[in-house]
Amino acid sequence: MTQLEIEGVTKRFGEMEVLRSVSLRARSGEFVSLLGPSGCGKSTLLRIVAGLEQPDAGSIRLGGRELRGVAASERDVAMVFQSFALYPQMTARENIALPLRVRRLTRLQRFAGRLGLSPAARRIGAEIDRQVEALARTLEIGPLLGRRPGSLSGGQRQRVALGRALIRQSSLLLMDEPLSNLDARLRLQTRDEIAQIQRQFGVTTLFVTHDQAEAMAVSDRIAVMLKGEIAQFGTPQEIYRTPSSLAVAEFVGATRLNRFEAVAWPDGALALGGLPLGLAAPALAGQRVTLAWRPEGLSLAASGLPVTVRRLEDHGADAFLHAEYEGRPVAARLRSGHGLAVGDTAWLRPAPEALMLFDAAGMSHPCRPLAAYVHA
Amino acid sequence: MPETRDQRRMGLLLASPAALLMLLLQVLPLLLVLGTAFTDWQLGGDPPAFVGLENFRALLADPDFRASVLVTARYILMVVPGALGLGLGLALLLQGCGRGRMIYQTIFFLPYIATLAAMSIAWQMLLHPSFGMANQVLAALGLGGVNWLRDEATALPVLALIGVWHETGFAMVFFLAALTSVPAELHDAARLDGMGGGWDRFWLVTGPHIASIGLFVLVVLTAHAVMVFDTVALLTQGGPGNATRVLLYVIYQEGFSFFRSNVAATATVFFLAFTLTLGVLQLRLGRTRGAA
Repeated sequence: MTQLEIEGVTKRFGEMEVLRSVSLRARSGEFVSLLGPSGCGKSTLLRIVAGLEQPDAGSIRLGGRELRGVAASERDVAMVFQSFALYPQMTARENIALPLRVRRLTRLQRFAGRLGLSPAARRIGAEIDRQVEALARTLEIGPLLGRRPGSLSGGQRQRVALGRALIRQSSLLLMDEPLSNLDARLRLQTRDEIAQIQRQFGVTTLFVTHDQAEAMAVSDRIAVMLKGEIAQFGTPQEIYRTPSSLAVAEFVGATRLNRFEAVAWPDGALALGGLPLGLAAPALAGQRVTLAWRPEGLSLAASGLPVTVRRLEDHGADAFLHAEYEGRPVAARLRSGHGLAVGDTAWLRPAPEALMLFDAAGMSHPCRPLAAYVHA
Repeated sequence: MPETRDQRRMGLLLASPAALLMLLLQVLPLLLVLGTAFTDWQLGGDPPAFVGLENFRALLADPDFRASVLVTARYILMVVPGALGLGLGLALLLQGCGRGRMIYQTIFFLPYIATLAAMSIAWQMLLHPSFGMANQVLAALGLGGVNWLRDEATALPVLALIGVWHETGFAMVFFLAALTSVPAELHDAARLDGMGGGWDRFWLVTGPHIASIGLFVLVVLTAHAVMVFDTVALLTQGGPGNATRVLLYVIYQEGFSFFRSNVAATATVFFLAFTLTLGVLQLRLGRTRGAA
């Protein structure tokens, strides 16, 4: 079931078009990441969904309800901010309870409740307290409830901020780079916890990040945003294995992409430096193409592309080979114990099934095994 | 690096001119005033004799002095909340103002940097009973005029109004600085937490964030208000009756009109005690603000 439906959202800041007709659908309970470099418009899109910015065009529906014209405070949306944005004068307990207090108590009751004047306010307050305690147990921040944000560590603040976002059980959870203010080790740990908590609560989540490893680790699906558009929307595997364009392929992946320029043969057959790949893309016959492999798509062989070894990184379980092919850098992931040394000449064989093929405009194209093409 | 004897001597030598001047111009007069408060010395009179706490007893029993303390307190109670409230209000308005913000900021700050003595003349013109603008406007509306500075009921409030006019820009500048330091994400978070109204968010986010600066401004404004003198001396001379006879004006009169130096000195000690308290408070608040 579609929970969040973003359709044709466009936003300009002055002359700059930050979002160009962005559309996206997230299923109920799905964890969707908006992944892109800074300035790609991902945070703006998130703020538009939250109601903190108004789109110039397009619509957003949440659970079938049109959100255009609905104030941020009236949307059924919670958000975790990059800076956590906890109220410094309030304890963790008060921070987490606030969204419930605002919604369940009137202004007068909130005031009277503090003075202990209203029995009704006290009853509701006790109920809210119970919920906060229960959530705090789940998040393992029970002992911290009495403390102010100023005396909490980054990771603890993060959990309190998450608690404040989860307490109201809203139908959409937004997270704006929630891990970027944590140190590297805590980031990994918190990343896993966020994924786990999200599944536990089953809340539809939109998660903004510029870190592709983060997005791959936590998401059901990733929307790669480049220059104000969604370049590709798919599962982490799809994004990694079959990127829709050269730009997506280059952005996703921990190491550089191995790119080779070539020209497809008149019958569409593909070859690299005179080495036939056994693949063909008839639609690109005779055109300039880019052949690309990730480092794990290249392996040592007795023949293939002759490369000069420039640098070797041993990672224990595997190793990275940085080499040079016709004056251009090439990276390959090898098994340990390859026996190479800097300055050696080695032969790399590209795996045909790992090939990513792009046309001159950088768009992805399918290719088929040559034999099948010949038989067909 | 351990100091040698020569270095220490050199340091003392270099610091001595400033230290001497400070001693001569600040500490010595203060001690003289303090000493005078315990004598019966009057300018041009007999050599002073020690009278103990007699001056303090007499001053505290003097209904005129008590009245002047009350007048000063009333002045403070009008000026400080007025300037504080208006300064905050203007700062909030200006913060949401995009273009022209600098222009407005400068305009509202101008009264504070303008010489109050000179500006008092302008106010005197405005408030003149027959050709002042205030009364002409009232006349145009068919209302009778008021002799603003010569009426016991209006003189002090009018001076307070001038005080507010003068101090509002000062308060505003501090609040503007405080407001720019409120993180925008906190306002966003408050919106998503259900605080849609600006007033709600003011109490939840802005208020706590600017509270310490507000307290600081409050103390400084109080210190400014207790030192009011220019407008009183130029516009009302403490009158009508004793309606605007503020503390500093009493000291001035006792010392330089009646030449009762011992009384002036005693009043000054009271005055100093009060301003010193405010000064310490200001320093404390400044420090906690720096630490936060």
